[in-house]
Amino acid sequence: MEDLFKLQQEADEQRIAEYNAALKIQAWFRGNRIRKYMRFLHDTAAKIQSTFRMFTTRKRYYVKVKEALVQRKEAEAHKAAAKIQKIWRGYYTRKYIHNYYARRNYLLAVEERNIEIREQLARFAQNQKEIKEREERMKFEEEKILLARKHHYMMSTYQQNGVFASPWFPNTGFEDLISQVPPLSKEERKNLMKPVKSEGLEKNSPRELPPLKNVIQPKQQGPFRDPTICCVLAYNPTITPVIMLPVITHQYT
Amino acid sequence: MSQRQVLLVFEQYQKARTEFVQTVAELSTRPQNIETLQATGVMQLLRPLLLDVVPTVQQTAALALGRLANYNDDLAEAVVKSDILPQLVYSLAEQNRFYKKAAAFVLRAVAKHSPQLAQTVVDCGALDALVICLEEFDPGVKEAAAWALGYIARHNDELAQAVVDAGAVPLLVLCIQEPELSLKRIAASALSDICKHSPELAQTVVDAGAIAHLAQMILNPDSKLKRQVLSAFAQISKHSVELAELVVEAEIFPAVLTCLKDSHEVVIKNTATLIREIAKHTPELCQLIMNAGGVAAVVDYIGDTKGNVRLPGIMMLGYVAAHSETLAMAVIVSKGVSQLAIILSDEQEDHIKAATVWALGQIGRHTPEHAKAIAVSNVLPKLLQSYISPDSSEDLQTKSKKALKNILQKCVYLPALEPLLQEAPPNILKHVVAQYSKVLPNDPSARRMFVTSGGLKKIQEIRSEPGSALQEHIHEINKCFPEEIVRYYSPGYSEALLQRVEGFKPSTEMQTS
Repeated sequence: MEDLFKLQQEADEQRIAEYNAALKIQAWFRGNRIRKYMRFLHDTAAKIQSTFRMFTTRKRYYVKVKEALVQRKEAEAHKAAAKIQKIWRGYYTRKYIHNYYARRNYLLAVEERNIEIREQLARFAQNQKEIKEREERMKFEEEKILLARKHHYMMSTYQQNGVFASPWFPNTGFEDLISQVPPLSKEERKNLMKPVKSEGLEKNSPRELPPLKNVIQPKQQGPFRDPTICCVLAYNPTITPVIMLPVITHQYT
Repeated sequence: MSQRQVLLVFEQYQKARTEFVQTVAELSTRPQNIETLQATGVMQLLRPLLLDVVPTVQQTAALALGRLANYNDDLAEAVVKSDILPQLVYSLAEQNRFYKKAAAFVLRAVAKHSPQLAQTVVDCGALDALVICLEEFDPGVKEAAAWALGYIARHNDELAQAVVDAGAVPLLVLCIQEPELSLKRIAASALSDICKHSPELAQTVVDAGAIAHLAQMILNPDSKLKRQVLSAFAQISKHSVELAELVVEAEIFPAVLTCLKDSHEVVIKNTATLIREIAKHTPELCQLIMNAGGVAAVVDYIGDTKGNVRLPGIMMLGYVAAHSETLAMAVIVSKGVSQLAIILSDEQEDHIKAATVWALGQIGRHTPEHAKAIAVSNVLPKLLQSYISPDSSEDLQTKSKKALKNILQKCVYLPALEPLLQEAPPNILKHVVAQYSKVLPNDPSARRMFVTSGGLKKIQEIRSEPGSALQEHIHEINKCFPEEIVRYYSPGYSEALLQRVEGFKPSTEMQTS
């Protein structure tokens, strides 16, 4: 009996062991098969998604590339414009607004001109001074000569030394000058003595009174002086204050 | 009585009249006699003699009257009151040349004293008669008439306009061309007196063609003539740019610069005035003067002369420098600044000093280079002196302050700023400190100099209100230096150190006590 029970037990255990083993095998197999299927599904989904994404991003990518290209071109254009403007502004300012070299040359030219002008003016001033000095000297010489001519009568003679040739005083050369220049003639002396006549606003000389017209008949009969002489005598200012009357004869009418 | 006796009486009377008139004329040449003559009522006696039969008596009476009226304005008034002028004007048209000369002399003598007297002369209708005299043949008459017209036109605008309306200007221009020197002088002087009042009058004179003839006379050797011609040009060019340009177009430069070397001071002064009036207007005219070497000539002339004569030259340099910075630089190149510095130290008169200070301010205010040129010639301390000194007049002080301010705002030449740092009052000091605060942050060697010269010490000693610009500048300067050195130089630091010394207890002392 126990052997039966044991045999039954063994058979049961075996049956259970075989059952579990078969279960395991089937589970493993089913799992594999499903996993494989899942894997297949994931792969296909991924492939679909990836193609779709490639497609859409390529569209967006091209748009972005175009924009980037446009912007890059713009940026280049801006840079080029800035460079042109930079060069132009530098050139223009240096040439027209503040030309450093023109200014420097101008100031140098001004300096040169100043030197020239200063020389010229100095020469001019020197010239004027010389002319003046020469004139003064000439005037001085002329005055000396005039004096010598006036003092001709002071010249020394054979007998008597003149004042200017005195043995007690050093020789000034005046005596020689007197002997060299001609003496003044009579007219010249009179001209010298005469006061300088100037027109109009100066006092009229009393000798130039207007003549009395037709007042005295010429050629009076009798012992009378010439009427013109009488006139002169009458108006002679050196006779003061009594007027010298011409001789009058009473005419008994 | 016989005919001859009757005639004799008349001869005696004539002789008496003649002698009287001649003696009076002779006496009136001396001023001391004139009061006596006035007291004896000579005017009433001379008046009927103007209508005398004998021409000589008339002429001499007119001459005597002229001399009396010339002396002072009371006598001139007496001449006017005695109703002599209409008679004179009437006979001006008729009589011979001696009488015309004498009558014109009387008119001139009356008109010279005051505008009212000149107006009375004009009211008597003298202008037409004088203008007719200008057409005379005799140069003496023309001279007397031109002289009288000049004196009338001298006083004011209306009288000058009346002279011009009488048609005097073309005749005066003709007179200038005459060969007689005295006539030229008087005519030039009359034109100058007409031009000085207003631009319209100057334009009238220019339209009559005066400029060309006046320009020819600049080279004439006679000094008095040159004086009048230059004065005429100066009066013409002062009114407007167009007139100044017309004057310059007459090609007076560079010939007029030779007049700066003349022996008479008045000629030199008038030349300088002329150049100044031209330079006032525009930069182009200044450039023209500069190109002709005018600036160098003016700088030399202000060095050679003294006193009021150099005032127009100084002002001219100021005007030239004020227009643009190139012109200011050209003035510096022509040695203007050194000359002005010499004048500033030599001159005593305040108005000349004020002009010099103003000119220096105009030169230095443009750029740092100009300010440096001024600073280098050691002028800034002198400017400060003029500003601070109590002897300077108000005008000099204001001008010095302005000039100093303008120059300092551009000056970055630090060695010249140091003496100012020591002595300047606060309103100048703030500019000096501002300049330091601009330069010191960038220049290490300047910073070293600043410390060694005692500048940093002085800066710390300045007291300023917080928040003011001065405080900000001081703060900026302090930032350029390390803290220790700033603290070292700050006032009271030695006190603080000494107190610390007192309070310091050395460790050895502690242990023994």
